[in-house]
Amino acid sequence: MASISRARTWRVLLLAVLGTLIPPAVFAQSSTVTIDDLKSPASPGFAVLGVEPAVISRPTSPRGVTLSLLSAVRDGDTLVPKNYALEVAPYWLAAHPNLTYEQYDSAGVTDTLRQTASVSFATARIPASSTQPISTGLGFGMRALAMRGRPNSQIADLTARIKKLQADILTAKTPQEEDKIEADLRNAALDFQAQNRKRVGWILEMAGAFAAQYPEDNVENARLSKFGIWVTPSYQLEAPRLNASAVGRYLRDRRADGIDLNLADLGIRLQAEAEEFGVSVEVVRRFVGETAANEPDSTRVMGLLDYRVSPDIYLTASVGQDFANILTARKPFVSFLGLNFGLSKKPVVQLP
Amino acid sequence: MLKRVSIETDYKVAAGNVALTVVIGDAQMGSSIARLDDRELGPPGAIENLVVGKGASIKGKTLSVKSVVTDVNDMTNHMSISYELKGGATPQTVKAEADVEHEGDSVIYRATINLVQ
Repeated sequence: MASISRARTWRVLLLAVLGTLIPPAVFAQSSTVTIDDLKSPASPGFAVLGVEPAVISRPTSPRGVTLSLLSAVRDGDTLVPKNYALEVAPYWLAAHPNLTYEQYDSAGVTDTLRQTASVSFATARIPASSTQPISTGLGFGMRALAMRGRPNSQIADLTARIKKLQADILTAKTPQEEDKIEADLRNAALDFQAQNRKRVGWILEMAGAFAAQYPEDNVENARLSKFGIWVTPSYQLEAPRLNASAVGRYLRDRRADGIDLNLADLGIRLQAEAEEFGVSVEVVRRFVGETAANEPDSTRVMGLLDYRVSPDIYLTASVGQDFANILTARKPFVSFLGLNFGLSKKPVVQLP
Repeated sequence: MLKRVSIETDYKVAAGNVALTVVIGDAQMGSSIARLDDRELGPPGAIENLVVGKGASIKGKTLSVKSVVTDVNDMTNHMSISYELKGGATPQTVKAEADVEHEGDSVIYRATINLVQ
C-alpha cells in the first residue's frame, strides 16, 4: 500500500518537473469566468457590493433583527449604518411548532422557497477615486431554493442511529446515564446535517441582488450601480456520482468611470466523479449587451480533470478555448496543469 | 450536559378514550416514551393517537411523557414540542419550547399530565 502511494507521489513530482520544462504558453492559466463564478452567490447582497464582511450579524429572532439594526445605527453618525452586514432567514425568525421534519423534508415548491429564503444586506464605505468622491455603498440580495432535492442514501442510516441513541436516553435510569449518550447523539446529528447538505435529484437555486451608491453620502446623488439575477438548476445522481448543472446569470454593472456592462451568461457542466478521478466538461456562453465597451459575444469551452494523488494532494488539468479577447477578438487556447495541496483539518500542534 | 425542560398540567377526562399525540416541531427530530403511573404505554418512538385509556379507568393517574429532541435542522436552533390530548372534556394542547446553543445538541422534555375528573 505504501509503495503504491510512493509511486503516485513520484509520478506527480515528475509531472511537476516536466511542467517547469514545457513552454509557458502551454501552461497559461485562465483567469476568466468559470461556471462556478456564475453560480448563485451564498450572500448575494454582499457579492453585488463586492465585499466580504469580517463580521456578519445573523439574528434568529425579530427582536434580534431590531437590536442589530438599532445597534448599527447607534454606532454611526447617520441613519444608514456604515460597514454593516446582516444576513437573515425570515422564515426561521419565528417558531414553527407544527412543522415536522417529514413535512419540511418533502415540502413543495412554495414552502421550499419560503423555508430556504435568506436576505443579505450590507453597507460599505467606498473610498474616493479619480472618477467619484467618497461614497456609501448599499447592497441588498435574496437567495432561495425552489427545489432542494431528496436525501441521499446515508440519511436513512443516520436517522436510525439518531433514533436508537434517543431511545437509549429515553430508557436511561439516571441523568448521568443520559448525559453519557449526549456526545454520540451530537456527532450523529452533525453527520446528519452534513449529509443532508449533499442532497440528490433536482435542485433549483435562485438569487437576485442590487447595489446602490450614495456619493458624498447625499441621497440626491444616489444611483443604482449594480443589479444581478442568478438561476442555478442542477441534477445530482448518487451512484454513479454524476452531476449535470446549468447556470444563468444576468449582470448590469454601471461603473463610476462610465463603463456600463450589460452581461448575460449561460453555462452548462457535466461532471462525473469516481474514487480518485473527477472529470467535467463545461461550456459558458456570454452575451454582451450594446452598452458594454466593444466586447463581443463569446463562448468558453473547457475540459477539466482532477486526480487525487493522496488524501491531501490533487493533480488538476484543464484544456479548452477561452472567451474571445476584447481587443483582438482572438479565441485563445487555454491549458493548465497544477497541484493542489489541501490543508489538513487535523491540527498538527495540539491546542491548549 | 443535556438541557432539560419540564412542564406540568392537568387534563380533565370524560367517559371516552383519552388519546395523546406528541408533535416535534421546527423540523427537528425527536422520540418519546409515555408512562401511565409506572406502566410504559409502548416502546420509544413517535407518539401519534396513543390511547391512554377510558376516563373512568385513568382518572387520578399521572401520564408522564419523556421526549428527546435533537437539532438536525441547520436553519434554526429552536425546538418546539406539543402534547395534544383529546377524548377528555375538551381537546387540549400543551406546548414547550427551548433553544440549543450548538448545532446537533439535544433537549430532554418531561411532561407530567395529571388526569383529573
